[in-house]
Amino acid sequence: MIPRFGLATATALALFVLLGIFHREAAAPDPAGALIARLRAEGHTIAKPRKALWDTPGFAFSVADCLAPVETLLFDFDEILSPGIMPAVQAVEGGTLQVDYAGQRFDRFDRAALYGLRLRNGATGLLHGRLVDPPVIILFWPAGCTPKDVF
Amino acid sequence: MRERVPLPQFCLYLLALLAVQYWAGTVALVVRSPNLDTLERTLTQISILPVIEWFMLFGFIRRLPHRTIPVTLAYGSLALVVVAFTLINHQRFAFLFESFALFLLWLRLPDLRRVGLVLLLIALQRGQGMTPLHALVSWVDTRVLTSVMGLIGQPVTWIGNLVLSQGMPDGLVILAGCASSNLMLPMGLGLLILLLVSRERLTRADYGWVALTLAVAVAINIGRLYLMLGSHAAYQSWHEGTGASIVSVAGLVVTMGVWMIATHPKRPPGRRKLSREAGA
Repeated sequence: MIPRFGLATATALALFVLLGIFHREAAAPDPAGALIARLRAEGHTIAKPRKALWDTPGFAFSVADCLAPVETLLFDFDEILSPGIMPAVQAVEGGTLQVDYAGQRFDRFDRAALYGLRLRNGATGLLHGRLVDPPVIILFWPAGCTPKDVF
Repeated sequence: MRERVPLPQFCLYLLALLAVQYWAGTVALVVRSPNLDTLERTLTQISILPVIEWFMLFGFIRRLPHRTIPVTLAYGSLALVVVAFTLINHQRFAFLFESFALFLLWLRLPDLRRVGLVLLLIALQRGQGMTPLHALVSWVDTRVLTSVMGLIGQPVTWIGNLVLSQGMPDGLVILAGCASSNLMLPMGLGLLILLLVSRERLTRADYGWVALTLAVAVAINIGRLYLMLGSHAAYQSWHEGTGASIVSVAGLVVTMGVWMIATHPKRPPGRRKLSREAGA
């Protein structure tokens, strides 16, 4: 005879299997893809779509007054915690750095301001029952080009 | 309803449910593979160490004493697991959350405390939410790698986490995904789990074995990063190709090897036990 606790566990297992069968997983968000679509719609040309720079999603897009395309990288917020990431990325990409996070623009990599913004967004998200952690978008404007607000 | 539930029965059923939850994602990936290439990629990504750990954990609960636990605790634990089903979109976080909650819930019961701890370690081993740790360790790794290369006379320069060498003049940036902690977590926690399920109590020597395993994990990863700097082809291989598989297998071999040496019946007992015997 199956013990009572065994029956309860079997019921829970059946519930889990049913949830798994009927659960339709939403497609993983692709912030780089969404940005590319938005920039294309605004008339920009995507010069160098790519999956990754050392596994980091990124692309490049043309801007009317710039001779070279603007390189764009999307970082997971936690990834930038390493103090060595920004100097490394800046050394590779060059140009003038611009940071876009959660709709706010920064003309330099201000770690403290970014963390403050993340904390505020987290608290607001908790209050509204919706926690989202947008990527840190880093743009590298080529020499001779003035950074603008593109997003 | 009976007032108490037999402990081995409770552990067997609840852990079977948790094991299904733990492996469900992997099974779904295998079953839903659209083609043979995807299936092959999925199968090669399955880690063997957790399979061994679960197997050992089930062996451990078979040896639990034939006591009983309060019915409220048994059904409360089951209810907690069922509540975590609602987080089906975030299975890994669900498992981490419920393992932590069960660990706290079982902390006061000596028979269940170790089962809860092993479950929590299994959950932590997956590295969910550990990107900040990996990011910080990647910075340390860069310093260690460049220092080692400097010591052996290899020309190397670095800017932050960017390492420039003769093989990779355009450089290699060490991101969180390449940090040694990605190997330290499965190896160190894996050994701790194996020791917890095969020992009455941990000795001081056991912590030494764990520290040694962590050091070997760092050495393996630094070696891998060094090889990645050889050329673009070497980078591809050691990052996600055959080389990466070799690193995984080496991690498994070291962890299992250290566990076998540490628990070998012919090994003299730990220092603490020796001194206790000498005192007696």
